[in-house]
Amino acid sequence: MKLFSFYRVELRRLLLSRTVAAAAVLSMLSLPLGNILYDFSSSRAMSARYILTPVVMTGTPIGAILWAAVMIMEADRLQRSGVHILTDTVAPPALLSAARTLALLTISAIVTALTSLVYLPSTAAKMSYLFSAGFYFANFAVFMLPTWWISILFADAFYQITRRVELSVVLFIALAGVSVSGISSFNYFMRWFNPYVITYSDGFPSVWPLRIGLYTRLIWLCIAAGVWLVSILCVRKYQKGLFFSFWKNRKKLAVLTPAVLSAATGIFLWHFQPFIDHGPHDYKYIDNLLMEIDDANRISAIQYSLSLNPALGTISAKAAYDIQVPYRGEDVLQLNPGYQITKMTYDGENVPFRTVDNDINGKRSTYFELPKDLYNKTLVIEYSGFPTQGRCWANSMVQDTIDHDYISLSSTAIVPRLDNYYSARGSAVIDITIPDNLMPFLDYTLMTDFADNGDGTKTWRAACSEIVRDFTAGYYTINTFQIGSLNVDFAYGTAYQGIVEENDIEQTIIDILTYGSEHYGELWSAEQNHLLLRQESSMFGGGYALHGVSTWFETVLSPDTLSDMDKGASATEVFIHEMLHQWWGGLGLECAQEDLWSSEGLTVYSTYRLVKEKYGALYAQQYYVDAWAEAVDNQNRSFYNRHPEYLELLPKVYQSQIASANRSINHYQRMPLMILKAEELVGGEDKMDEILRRMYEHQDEFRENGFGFADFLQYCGLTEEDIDGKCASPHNDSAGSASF
Amino acid sequence: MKKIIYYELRRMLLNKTFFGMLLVNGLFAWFTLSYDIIMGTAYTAPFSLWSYCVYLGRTLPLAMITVLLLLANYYYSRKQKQVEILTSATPVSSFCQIMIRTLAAGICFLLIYLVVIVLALLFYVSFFRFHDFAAFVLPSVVLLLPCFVLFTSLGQLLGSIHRSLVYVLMLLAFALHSITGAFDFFGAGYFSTVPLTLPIGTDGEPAFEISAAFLITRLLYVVLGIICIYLATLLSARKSQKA
Repeated sequence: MKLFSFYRVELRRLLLSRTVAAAAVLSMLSLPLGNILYDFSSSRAMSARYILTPVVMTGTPIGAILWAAVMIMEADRLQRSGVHILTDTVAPPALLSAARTLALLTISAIVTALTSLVYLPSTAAKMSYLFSAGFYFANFAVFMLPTWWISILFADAFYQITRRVELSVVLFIALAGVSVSGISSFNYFMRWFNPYVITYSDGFPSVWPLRIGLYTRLIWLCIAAGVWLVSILCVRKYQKGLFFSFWKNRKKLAVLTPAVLSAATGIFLWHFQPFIDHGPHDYKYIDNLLMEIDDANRISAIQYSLSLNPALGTISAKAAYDIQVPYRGEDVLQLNPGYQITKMTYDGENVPFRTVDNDINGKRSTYFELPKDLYNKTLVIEYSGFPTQGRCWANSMVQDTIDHDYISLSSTAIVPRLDNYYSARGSAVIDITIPDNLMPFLDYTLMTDFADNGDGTKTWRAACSEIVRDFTAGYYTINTFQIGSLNVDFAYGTAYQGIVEENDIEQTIIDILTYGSEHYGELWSAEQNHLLLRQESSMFGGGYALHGVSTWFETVLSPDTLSDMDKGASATEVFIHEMLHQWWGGLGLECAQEDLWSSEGLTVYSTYRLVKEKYGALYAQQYYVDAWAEAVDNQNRSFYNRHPEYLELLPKVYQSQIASANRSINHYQRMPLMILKAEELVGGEDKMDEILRRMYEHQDEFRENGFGFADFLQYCGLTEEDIDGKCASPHNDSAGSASF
Repeated sequence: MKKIIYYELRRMLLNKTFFGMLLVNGLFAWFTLSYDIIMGTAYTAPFSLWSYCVYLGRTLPLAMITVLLLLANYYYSRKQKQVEILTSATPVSSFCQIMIRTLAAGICFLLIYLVVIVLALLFYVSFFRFHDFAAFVLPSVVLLLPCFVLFTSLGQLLGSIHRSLVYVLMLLAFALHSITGAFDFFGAGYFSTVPLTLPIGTDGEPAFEISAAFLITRLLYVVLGIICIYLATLLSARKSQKA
């Protein structure tokens, strides 16, 4: 009761405090700073721009500093004014301190709520139809508030332990320093102060970042609460020092027990976290995981049955293998490390198995041995759990996640991999139960057969190969159309429907594929006259091409990308640019990354050619050639390019900034201008198309080292001197001396 | 009179708000130098007069807000209003009071710009080994003086009407920080766009010149500032008579 009455008094006092009001206002005002302070080199989803950056990356750490400062000042207030001798006689200092901290925690919660409400209208307006109120508020509740609480608890703990403002500040800075330092840069768990989130997706919203965010906040809240409770025991007694006071307070089990329990819970949660596996940090290239196969056709049939629970993000599955001839000796299967095998039977009898914590590339091995004399029996493996991310890619993408609005599972996160039993002729049947509003793709093929379960789920059935590589389900809209004999399925996030229609993306795809095929050669990824063009979640980290499939990252259609005038004069043209990367770049002819050469220049030039054909020479001249020349002219005029000797005087960080700006101009403007010059020299557009066609045809030769500038010159039969300088501006007399 | 000036200065300068804002101004100035000016303005050198003027122009809004904040806190606060009856009873005229306030604000402004300019000089010396600062004096006066006169006098005029109007003026300072052309109060917009329109000299940079229109506008701001001070004196005198 005493604690509550102190709490009420402290709460009222703090609510009237100017310092608290200033911290509250500054915390609230800090949010818009994010998009000014951070320099983002790549395009982002709207939710990353308008929620992640302001709320998580800016408001959360700045508020954490402010509230920690307020906490230390408030904790020192009585000591500073010298009235603690009086107040200590009226109220137990530990109780008063606890009440003060609880009051500040309450106020920070109120400020979080107010901040979320203040920015709600503008965020909703900016994100328009991509805005989700639940997701918006969840970010405040998951990241901002717990981080502020952790910060307040640590700050108060440091003050109670040291009783010195400057020492508390130093300790806090040191602890925050660990979180912001390089050692924690990609570590979800170390970053207590500035939570790590890769990005967000607009079209395929995933709650995985919120899940791990909540989990890490819980870990640090437990640890901070433990330290804070211990610090309560350090509150000075009988005007004695730290150790004496702690010794006298040690018998307060009501405080000590929860302190130890809380800290232990935090450490336990950290150690047994279910999000990232225990594998190595780098991807390990393994020559051949296959064991010795002494019988090519061991399995006659496979039945996979999966049920996904989006609320918990878990899977519950069964794999039944009709085995003709069991493998002789100890056998191994690979499964996602987050899954537990709950049961393994062969011909109805339990099979003993052992799982070894030897995670590698997102897989964990389980060893078992089948009775070798039992032929034509069924091996049943039941497994369930929450899929973990392989450590080697966990800091750059979320590959396996089961959410209400988006599901992405790969390889062993779908079904077990029994390398000793597979054959080239093998096939399987798979049943997958998912929420009924999602559109599923199995191994990049749209699933069409389903049964409605009537409980908000559908069970989808499809024939598949023994090894399932990919299962993706989301809010997809699919447009099907034909280009000559090629059937194209264009699958994109339903959230982007407006953008697709507004920018006439379907017609653009037809134009691009027609143009690319005619000028550079058939898209190698198109197989059996079918091509699936699928948009991937930005959480996935990029696009890729397989036979019959070409995926591209979500942000190709984001407003950020479509307004990047470096890539094209309008949103449609930027999309043309991104699609032309099917020919130039990792999906087609792999280009070397050089100062004056990259796939970007080739793609910009191809975009210009396509646009010239589509909108006319005048348009292309104005928005491409003239724009490139102006950018190159400005680059030549730039002080540091005229005076490279000054560039050397700058710190490395600025040198690299200028080098990066130069590289961007070189790739997006100077290089296309050079290709245009080469086009003139080789005899015109048709000749250049021939050269580009030959380059694309020989893509296999350059897969390892990349196609470089020297290769281009060789294909054109030109020298560097032929092209260099001739495309520059009237002001570039001194440009030759500039180093790019 | 000397005593009054001494105490006014002490009141305005020796307090946490001034030192806090001085620190903020210094940090902002360094941030501007190291993230913006370091790249040079309009393709000119970071130590060109163009870039230097843009630097002053970028730091001016915050400096003016600081001066207005100090005026609002120390001369137009509620407490100050309460003691106005007493101060009006002193033999010091309204004009003298206004001038003392202007002087105090001017010294604050000078101290802020002492820090801002020293930072720029340190920056130029340490990064570019550039020492030729004589040419910086005149553009500094052209940029800083009209701005200070106009904002301080307007601040005092508005403050004597209603305290909250000083805060409106602060918002105005924010809003006007990026206008271009001859009417640019702070000059950052003017000095970052004009060099792009000028012919390039033999050294690859346009020669520094300030247009007559810009100079006349600066002069007009000073005249407007003097008028505002006159009006503020009249208003203050009328209030004293009422009291």
